[in-house]
This record gives sequence, C-alpha cells and structure tokens, in this order.
Amino acid sequence: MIARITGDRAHAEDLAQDTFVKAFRNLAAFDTTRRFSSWLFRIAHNTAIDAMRRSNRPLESIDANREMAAGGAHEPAAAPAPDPVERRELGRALELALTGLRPDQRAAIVLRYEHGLSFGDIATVLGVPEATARSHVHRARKELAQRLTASGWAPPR
Amino acid sequence: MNDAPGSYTRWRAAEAGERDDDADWAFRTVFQTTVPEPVVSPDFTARTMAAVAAAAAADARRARRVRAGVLTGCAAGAAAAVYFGTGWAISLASSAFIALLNMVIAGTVRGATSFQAGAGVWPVVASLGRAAAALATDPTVTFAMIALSALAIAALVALQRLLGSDQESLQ
Repeated sequence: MIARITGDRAHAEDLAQDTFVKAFRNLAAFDTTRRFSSWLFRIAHNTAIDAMRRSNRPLESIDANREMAAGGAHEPAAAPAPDPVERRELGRALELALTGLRPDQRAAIVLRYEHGLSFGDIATVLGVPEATARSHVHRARKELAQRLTASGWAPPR
Repeated sequence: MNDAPGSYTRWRAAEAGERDDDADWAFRTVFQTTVPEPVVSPDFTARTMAAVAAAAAADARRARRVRAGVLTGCAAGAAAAVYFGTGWAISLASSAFIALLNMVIAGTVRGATSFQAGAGVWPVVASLGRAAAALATDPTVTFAMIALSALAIAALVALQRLLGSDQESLQ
C-alpha cells in the first residue's frame, strides 16, 4: 500500500518498517473493538502521507501524466485478447495511471481492490466519512478509465 | 482467474453505463488479475523484526532512565524532607498526640460527670462526640490529617508510576 501511495518502492520498505515500529509502540492505544488491519492500514497511510510531505513530493503526480501522454501510449486495444503479454501491458498501464491519481484516491483504490476492504474500513483508514470514501473510489475509477483511454486502452465498442 | 480482458470490457462498459456496482465488481477482477503485487525484498521481515526489537530496547532504556530519575528525585525529596522537616514533624505529631490525649481526658471527665449526675447513655455519648468534634476542629490536628493524606496520595501516585514503568519495560 505504501509503495503504491508513494510510488517509491525502495523507500516504501523503510516506511513500512516505520509503520510496524509505530504500531508496536502504540499497541496499548489500539481499540480492540475495531479491526486490527484497518488500524495498521491507517498508520501506514499516515506514515506514507507524512513522508511525502516531508520530502516535498507533489501530492498529485505530474510525471505519471506526462509519461502516459508521451511514451505510455500504444496501439488501442479495443477488446483485449486473453494474452499474458497484453494482460501484463494492461497491468503496467493501470499501475502508471494509478500513480497519476491523488494520494487519497490512490489509497482508496489500493485498499478497495488490492486489499478488499469495505467502504466503511476505507473510511476508517483514510479518516473520512464513508460517503467520502465511496466517492474517492468512484472518482478514482472514473479517472483511471480516462487515463487508460488517453494511453491507448480505449473502451471496447 | 484469468478473466482480465473480459473483465476489462465489462468494467469499461459498466463505467460508461454508470452501473457503479458492476463497475466495482469488474474493476476488482481487472485489478487483481493484471496489476502485479509490489515485490518485497526477502530480508524485509528480518529487518522489520530487528527494527521493532531495537525500538523495544530503546523504549525499555528510556523507561529505566525515567524510573531512575523518579527514584533519585523521590530519594532526594525524602532526604530533604527528613532534614528540614523532622523538627516540624515531631512538633506536629506531639501536638496531635496532646490533642488526642486532651480528647480522651475530656471525654472521660464528661462521661464520669454525666454518670455521677445520673444521666442516661445518650447524653454520655453526646458529650464524647463533642469532645471528638473539638479534637477534629483543632487546626493543628486538621492540618496534620491533611498533610498525612497528601503524603499517602503522593506515595501511591509514585508507586503506581514506578509499577507502570516496570510493565512498559516488560512489554
């Protein structure tokens, strides 16, 4: 999750380590009536956002947009065939599109579709109302679709 | 599940048709079948466990330092209190003792007088109560009681903090 939010895999492991250390130190503050995973995800999310703020990295990635507009495009795949290469290409395009989203939308997508969290749990992790979490996911998905179209993954007709 | 392309088609169609639930479901399949999970370095777990252990050791050291500081402070405070307050404490204790003695004597005298005068049990009890009240309202006794209560509360708080530090160290 941290790797997806920060877009920096090498640094993500250090931040994940920080997350576990923070969780260990604050274990006494954990509310046992809530889900442990949500609590841990929340610490991870805050750690990632703090690290991005500290390093003055833009909270909205511009590089990814630029890369997608310039070199990321390939032949439109109106109806992708069940081809492992094409699937990998789609995965890469999706990953790239993901890095162009705002961090809260990126986190919402990762929590929803990679970790399978409910909207309620996503809201807990992001510290927002459930309706906002739902809206983050909805808008992020729309934006991903637009970005994929822009990079050549046109919607099938 | 090797349904990425079909799901991709379904996702885009659902997204275009504003069918949010369908889009949610189809996109989940697309995401899980195409986006590779980030690779974690093999020594990540070992490094994380070492970092947690180091943090625990640092916390324990800090707790020990705090405990040593509290103990030193308490010992210094106690020594100063003994040095400067012994005379005052003895004077206070003797005043309280004399006041207690006065109460016992006054109670005995009042009780004996009442019995001699042929009074019942209740007037005797009432006179004993009056003697006790006179003791409790004596400023010296009141002050001694407040000082003892404050001392007991401070000792309990210090003890609780020390036990808390011990528990943190154990964790």
